[in-house]
Amino acid sequence: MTIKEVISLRNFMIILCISMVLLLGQKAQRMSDKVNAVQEGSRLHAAGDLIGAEEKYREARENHSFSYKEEEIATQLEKLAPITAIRTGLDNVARYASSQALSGDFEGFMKSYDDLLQLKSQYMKPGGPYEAYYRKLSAASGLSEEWTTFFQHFKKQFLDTLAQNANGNDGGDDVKWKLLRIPDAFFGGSSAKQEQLNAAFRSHDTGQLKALAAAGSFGPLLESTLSMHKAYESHKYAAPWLKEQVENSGRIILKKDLEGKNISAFAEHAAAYRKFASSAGFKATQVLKYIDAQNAKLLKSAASKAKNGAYEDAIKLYTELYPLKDHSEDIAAVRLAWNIADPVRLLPGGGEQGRYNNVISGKGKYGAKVYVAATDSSGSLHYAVMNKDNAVSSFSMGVIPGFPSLHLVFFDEALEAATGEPVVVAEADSTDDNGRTLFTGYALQMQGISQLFSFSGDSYELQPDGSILVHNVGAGAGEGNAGQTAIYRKSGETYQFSEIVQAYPPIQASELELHPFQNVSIGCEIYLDNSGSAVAYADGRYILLQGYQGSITGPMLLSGQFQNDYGILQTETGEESVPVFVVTSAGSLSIVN
Amino acid sequence: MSKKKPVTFRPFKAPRYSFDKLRICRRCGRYTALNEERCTKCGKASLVSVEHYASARAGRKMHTRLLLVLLLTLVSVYFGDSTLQMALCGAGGLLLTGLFYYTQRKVRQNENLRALEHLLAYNIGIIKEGLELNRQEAVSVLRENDVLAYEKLREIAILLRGDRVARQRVALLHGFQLRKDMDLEMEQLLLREFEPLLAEYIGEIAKVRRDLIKDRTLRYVQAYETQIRQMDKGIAILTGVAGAAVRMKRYALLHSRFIGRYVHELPKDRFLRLARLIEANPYEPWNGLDQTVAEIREFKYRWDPEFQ
Repeated sequence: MTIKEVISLRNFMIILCISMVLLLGQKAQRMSDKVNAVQEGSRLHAAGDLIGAEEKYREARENHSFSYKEEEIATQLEKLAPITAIRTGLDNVARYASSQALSGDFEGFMKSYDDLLQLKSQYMKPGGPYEAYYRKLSAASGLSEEWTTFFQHFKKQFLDTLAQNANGNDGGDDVKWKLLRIPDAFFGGSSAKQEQLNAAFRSHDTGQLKALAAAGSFGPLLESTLSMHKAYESHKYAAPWLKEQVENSGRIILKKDLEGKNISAFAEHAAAYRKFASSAGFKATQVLKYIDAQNAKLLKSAASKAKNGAYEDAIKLYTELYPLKDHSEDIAAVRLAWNIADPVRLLPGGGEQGRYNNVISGKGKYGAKVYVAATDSSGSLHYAVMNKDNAVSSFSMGVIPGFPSLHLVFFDEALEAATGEPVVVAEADSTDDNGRTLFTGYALQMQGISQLFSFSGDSYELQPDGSILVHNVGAGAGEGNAGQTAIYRKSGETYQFSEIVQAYPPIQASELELHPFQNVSIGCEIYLDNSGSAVAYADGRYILLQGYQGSITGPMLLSGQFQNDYGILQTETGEESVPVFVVTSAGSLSIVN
Repeated sequence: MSKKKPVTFRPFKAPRYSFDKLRICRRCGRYTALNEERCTKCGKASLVSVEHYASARAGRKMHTRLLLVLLLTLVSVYFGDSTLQMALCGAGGLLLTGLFYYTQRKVRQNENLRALEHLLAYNIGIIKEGLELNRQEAVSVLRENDVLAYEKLREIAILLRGDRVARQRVALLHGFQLRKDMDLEMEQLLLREFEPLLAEYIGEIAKVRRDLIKDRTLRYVQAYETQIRQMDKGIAILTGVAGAAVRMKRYALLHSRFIGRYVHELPKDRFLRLARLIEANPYEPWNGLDQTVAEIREFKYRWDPEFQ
């Protein structure tokens, strides 16, 4: 026999036929099985063993070798449908549950448990027709032990998680609710459950909160407590330890703040606590009361500070207490009082030390509640005024002349009375003139500072007619006027040099005799006569001079007196009796008037 | 003329069908027309006749088909849903199987033939190869044993027609002394072309076995008459052939002209036979042969008592 002959289609067909015969044998076997199953099923059913019958019928139905009494099987199984339902229900539930228990899927597991209970309630009605069968099937599947094991496993797992997280690690909160859902029976009764869970929850919660408190994170502590509280509320579970714990921790922390004089921390924490309490629905707890009391105390202290002039402290305290309440109004009042008490504060940056010098202030005048003027380090003049509405305006002016040697700044009441607004005068050493003082005057108006005058001299006086007399006026009043007493008159907004005080008021030479023993000055031409003495000629008349030094001729301004003295003078026309003018000083002829 | 040796051939019976002797090696598929025990190519003793081989194949095919029917029956029973279905399928199937079996038996012979036809038709190339190998084998023993070689070639010539093998046979036969009791062949040896050895052979055959000279031989001889006449013993050969031809009326009539050419040379007994033939059938179209014969009779055998 060749290989070709062995492996031939014919032999292959033979093999196929043989296999078919074997399969047929198998089929015959299964057919007989089915017949037997149906017979058994009906026997058991008649004998009352519904479970066995259901099994057999099911077996028969699943035997698809051939159709045999299919309707009978169907009707019987229909009759026995509840048994099937019970069985499949139990099987499914058991299967799901075990897979969920393995994978740790608690949600699914609880759902399976619900399904089981549903199944039970449906079929395990006492006295119901299927109660016995349910019992049997349930016992047969060993469900109870399995479930118990599963629940125990979950319970242990959750309790462990809780215990683990009791030292402050995050998470583990949702575990509580899972524990809650585990039926009482598995704890040994509802009271036992409550006891156990309370203990576990309590230790977990307080542990976490304590850790937070120890770390000093008050905000997170309150947050955690609040969320826990809300969670308990939503699950309708009473957790009194939360309030206890948070009150304890709160009180400790607040006390510590106060002891450490950390007012702002206290206020923050207190405010947070109040917020927390209102969110959590805690009313009038110990800590809240404590907060209220302490807060009142602090406010009182602030008010008294303000009253006693410790404005800054008062403001500081109010500011620190901001979290609890916005004391802006109080602060504003304190500031106001402070400003009034220390007007330099009205100026920008007035609170800084050394920013302003030469501070002068006044109150209640010129429509202002408080006004203040000062110079700063660069020499600018600053002025601030608070009006009746407590509005503050401040202005500044450029550098005061002669600033480096500034030695006095003051309000000139007389000028103020005259102008109807505050006037600040600054005295400084005059640079150019020796010994003279540079006076610069500023009018402080509602809309700003304006320079009123600036002259140098020894002193000045306000005249009743509103002009200012300056004694020993400096060169600013014009060359040649130095040393005189000058009159400054207001022209526009400022005082301008008007004239030198006529210690020797100019008169016409022809009127000389009308002013005996009066200091007058006359403008005239000076000649030298034959004898070399100086003779003045003005207005067509000659005047003899006495005490005239120098031999300068030409136009001159002579100051002196006519003392009713006449002298003889040789003129072209002969001898004349001319008045004698006693000269005290002679100056160039300047345009006067 | 070389010396011819006396030989004895093994008995040779022309097979009824040319493929009767053709065998195939089951293992290597080589075809052979000779009688060896073992296949020369693969050395295994697995040579079977092609008929047998084809028959076996046909048989397998038929079995396969029958089994297919049986298989379908079984499958249908297996997939039957109710007992009734299964029973019907089974019964029907078995019935069909039976019918089929019966029919197969009836047509078995036919199938065998068809298988054989198929086998030969599709394997003609391989068969030719095999026969060629056979021929080479025969030629290879030629030197030592010309008798064996001739025998082999004779076997081969059943299938391998054509001048090549025939020529070789003729050449071999040339060396043999021919006797009446030997298995001799004539018509199978006729070549397409003229071959003097063949002509000589014909002459010898005409001497020892007249009955082998038939139509085709006569035609061959006539066709190459001229060349034969030029041969040494040409006339003798032709005379011999003519003498053989006169044994049947048909031949005498058909080849009357040819015979007429050599009637003068015919030996007495042949002539006598011819004369008797003509006498018996005077009205056949002898084409002048009868007259020639009459003349010769008059001339030579007037006085011979056998002719009266």
